[in-house]
Amino acid sequence: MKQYDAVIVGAGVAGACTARECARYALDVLVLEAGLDVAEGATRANSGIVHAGYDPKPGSLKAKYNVAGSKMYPQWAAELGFPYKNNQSLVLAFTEEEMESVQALHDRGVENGVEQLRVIDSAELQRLEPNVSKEALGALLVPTGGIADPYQVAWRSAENAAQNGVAFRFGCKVLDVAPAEGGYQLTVQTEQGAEQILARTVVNAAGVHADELNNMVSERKLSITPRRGDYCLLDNTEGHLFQRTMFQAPTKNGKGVLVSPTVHGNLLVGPNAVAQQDKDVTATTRDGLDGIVSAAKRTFPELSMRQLITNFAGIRATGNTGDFVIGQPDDAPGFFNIACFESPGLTSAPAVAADIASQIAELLDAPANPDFDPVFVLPKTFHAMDESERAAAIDADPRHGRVLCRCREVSEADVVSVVHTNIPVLCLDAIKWRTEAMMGRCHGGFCMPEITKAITRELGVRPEDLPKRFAGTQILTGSPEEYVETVKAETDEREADWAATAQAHRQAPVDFDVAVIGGGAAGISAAAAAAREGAHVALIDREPLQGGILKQCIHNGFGLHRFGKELTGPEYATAELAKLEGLDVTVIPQATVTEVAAASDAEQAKAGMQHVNVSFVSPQVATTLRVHSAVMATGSRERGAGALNTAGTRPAGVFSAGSAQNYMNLQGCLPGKEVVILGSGDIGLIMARRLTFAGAKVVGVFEINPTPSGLRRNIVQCLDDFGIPLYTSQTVTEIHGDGRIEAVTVSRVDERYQAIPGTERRIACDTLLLSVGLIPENQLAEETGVILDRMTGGAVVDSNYETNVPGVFACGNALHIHDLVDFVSDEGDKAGLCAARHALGVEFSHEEERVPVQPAEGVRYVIPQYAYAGGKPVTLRFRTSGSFEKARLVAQALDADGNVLAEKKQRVMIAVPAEMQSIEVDGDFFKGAACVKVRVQA
Amino acid sequence: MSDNKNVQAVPAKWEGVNSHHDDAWVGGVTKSYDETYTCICCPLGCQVSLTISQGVNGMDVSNVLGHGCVRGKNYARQEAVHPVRMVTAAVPVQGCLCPVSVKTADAVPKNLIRAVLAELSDLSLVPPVREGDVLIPDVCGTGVDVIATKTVQ
Repeated sequence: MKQYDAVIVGAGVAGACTARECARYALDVLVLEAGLDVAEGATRANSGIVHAGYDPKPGSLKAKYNVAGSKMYPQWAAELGFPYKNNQSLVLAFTEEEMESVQALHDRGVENGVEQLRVIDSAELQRLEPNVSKEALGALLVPTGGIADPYQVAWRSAENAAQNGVAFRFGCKVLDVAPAEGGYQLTVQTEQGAEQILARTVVNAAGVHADELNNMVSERKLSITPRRGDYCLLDNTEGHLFQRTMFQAPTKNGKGVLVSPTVHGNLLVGPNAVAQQDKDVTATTRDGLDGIVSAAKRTFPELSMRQLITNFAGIRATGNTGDFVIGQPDDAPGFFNIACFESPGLTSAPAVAADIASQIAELLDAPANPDFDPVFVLPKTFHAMDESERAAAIDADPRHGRVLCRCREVSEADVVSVVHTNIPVLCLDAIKWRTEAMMGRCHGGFCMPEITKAITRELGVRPEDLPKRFAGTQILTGSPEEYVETVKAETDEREADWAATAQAHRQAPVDFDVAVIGGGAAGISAAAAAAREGAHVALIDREPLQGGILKQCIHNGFGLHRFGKELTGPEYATAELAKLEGLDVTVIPQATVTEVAAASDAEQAKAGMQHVNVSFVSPQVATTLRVHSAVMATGSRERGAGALNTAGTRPAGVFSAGSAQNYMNLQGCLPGKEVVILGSGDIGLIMARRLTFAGAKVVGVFEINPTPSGLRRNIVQCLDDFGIPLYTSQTVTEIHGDGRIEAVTVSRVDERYQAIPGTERRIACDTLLLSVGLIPENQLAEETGVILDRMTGGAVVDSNYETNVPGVFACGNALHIHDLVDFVSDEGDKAGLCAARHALGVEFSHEEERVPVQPAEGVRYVIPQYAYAGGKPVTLRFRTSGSFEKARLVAQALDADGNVLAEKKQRVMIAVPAEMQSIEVDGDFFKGAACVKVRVQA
Repeated sequence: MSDNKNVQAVPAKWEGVNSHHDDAWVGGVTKSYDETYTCICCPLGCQVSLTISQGVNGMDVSNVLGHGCVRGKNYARQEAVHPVRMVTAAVPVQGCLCPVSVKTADAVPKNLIRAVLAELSDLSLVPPVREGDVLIPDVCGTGVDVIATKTVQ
């Protein structure tokens, strides 16, 4: 039987770095990993800090390897290409006692050999980090502190090792190690059964299980206590708040929590430290999550969970000696421990790896490997390219023009490039961690269905056979039999079409009067209206077929107002698209807009008039349109699982309702069989019926508010008809299940939406659907400089639907979330008309002064937020803040002293927040007014 | 007291259809009982109660109470006598990943929904399927066609 020179147990950062270092020698090396990917344990779930080394006890292995490892990071990052930033750190002190502690850290750091450490006062601290709490007295400034992406450190080290000849096997769990002739014999559990592997040396990089492995071969027993750390991660809009990693001075109560930017621009908060029984369970707890947030507020008082995108937990391997255990126990030669490898393990890994590898080489008398190539390189990613690089990349590979993950700007080419490397992709999460796809603000809601298609095609595996992370964690329960073949055939057809039309697209004109961004209901009507007004219009849409979300809304209930009859979503879309026939609208499909920018003064002077540049990529081109008006009809996204900060695990089987709808109605797949739905919004109710029709059992719908959010008609026709219970004032407080979701805990909540202790009950399920709110999608608009209304999440607009950026208009769900698509189309009609008139230089008949329109008693918001006197009638659209029976909705124009100049009233039987209201007033309504207020009169 | 204005004859196409009002028909003897429905026409959700009885001229709905407007009254009467629903679904098309969305061209008896879905699951479609195409005429004997609501090439 073959005997390896070295078998490394565990492909976390320790094992992966050691594999890479061993590749520098002429050694036959095999890495055994129990999971389906590298970094399955603590490596994936830590702070990502490359510590400077002031924290460990002088003379300890931690101190030695921390400092040495931290110095190796810049070169490793350059060779392997993982993200690394020497962003510096600060250890904050809020009391005199803490200042002493900070001074002690300084001295300890100096003793450990850390350079450039300096204690600073609060004045300098505030200058360096303006967002830090004003309560801080001072800090330890650590110029050599850094941050990295720990998954990428491990993955790229593994790739480099593999490219240099190291073998990797996944799904192989080591059950036993015993001394054998010439070394050791490992008994390994694989899918096929048990297997024996012989090795001359063994590297124990088994993370939390390293003690178990050591204790099989040595009398020098080790004991590892798992200690869990919970984290909260905020969106990459928040990473700019701090440059440095902000630690809190250790006190007798513990180490405090950190607030840190990550290398990807997110903001990380945490961790706590909770000893637990189970070594593998990474469920967060409510107390843990709340605790780290409140502790973090000491550093950053304005910390808000509004931009939360996920929480997670990692398990530290804390050894009984308090230090690393590195190297051969005296009674087990050839067995190399990298054990008890808690913090600063990530930082220390390269230094420990170098040491261990050289010890192995010496023991086995192995010479250097002359062919070792230290560089692992991947093609530049779409996100990192500028427009001309993108154009060239798309020329070479059209898949670079197909953006699969908009939130993180990941193209199909990026995804494909990481699938066929040496370290295999055996689960969907591997794509997530290698490319950042599905890690953005939509929590995978939009991109997961598309990425599922791409990955199943590349791997030749059906979705229900593709695990999310661990073996047996299906992302879907069922898919059509010919799924893979059909996806492949459709891909070939699509790509042949790209090639055939590439030339035409490259030569297409770039000058238009109006560009409409988004080909859903709002965009289609805006484009039609603009063209009818005489404008030359471009309609840019991400999909091959237009209609936006309507394409997957196969239920009926659309069009009663606009067409006088009830249509299904696809029928409504077809009817609206038909109106484009014969109009001067150029549809640009499969195009992702990357930037909308008002032309600079210089550009405008050159061109002779104000214009807007709309840049987009498609599989054929990367180009910029020069237009006079742009209409942002970018729709909305769903609030995802990550935003809820639910405690527990993060298993497969959790979907946003729209994402599940996509899988079912556009891909013929079944998300699951036993479903809990959180949120009684219409989309959740519709999906309750849809899943029931498909043979799934919907266990219940849970609504946190005391009254359901969706339309009454949907409660009756989607729940009552099928006996599906609806529970109000209840919510999901914990998620259970390691691989696929197994159950949720639901609790009753009080009037402040806080869970009532003692009301918890556990509900078994294999799927959790979330229908917890829609958020207008305005990332692009914000980057353009459009001012948003915090209440609506959409732009602040005037009665022409124009934003504060001249020539940029907004309508539809991007402006405010609608309940009836008929009104979305109506808004699009108006915005398109105004955008065209602006572009064509047609004067509006309005006075210069614009009048603010404000919500008053009982009203949550009003669109538009400004109106012009004179001119055409204005439809004020708004939502009430509560339920009012027999209500009088009143719009009043007031002068500067508050006197009512004009008034319009409307009676309704009932007004609820879930149904948008409107009052139409004519242009004269605003004449001479200082402001207009809309209120509910009881 | 029933008034003849409310008498609704059971149309021929509903005959023989199982309804949970079955026990209303017992050997010609008039039986009656009360039902309450939540109206779905507007967010008020009025609780509309009424009495259903089997009269010589057919089913009789009377004593309609609790509705806030005439829409509620009509809705409740319809629910009592012939609860009907539109059925929408997605049917696979050979060689296409995306199923074709379909609907019943009109509402069908609520208690036939399962049967309609079963007939749909037997459908085997090949492209092209055009929006408006009749995929199943007179599904489950309801007199209502199932039609495609989008075009799949």
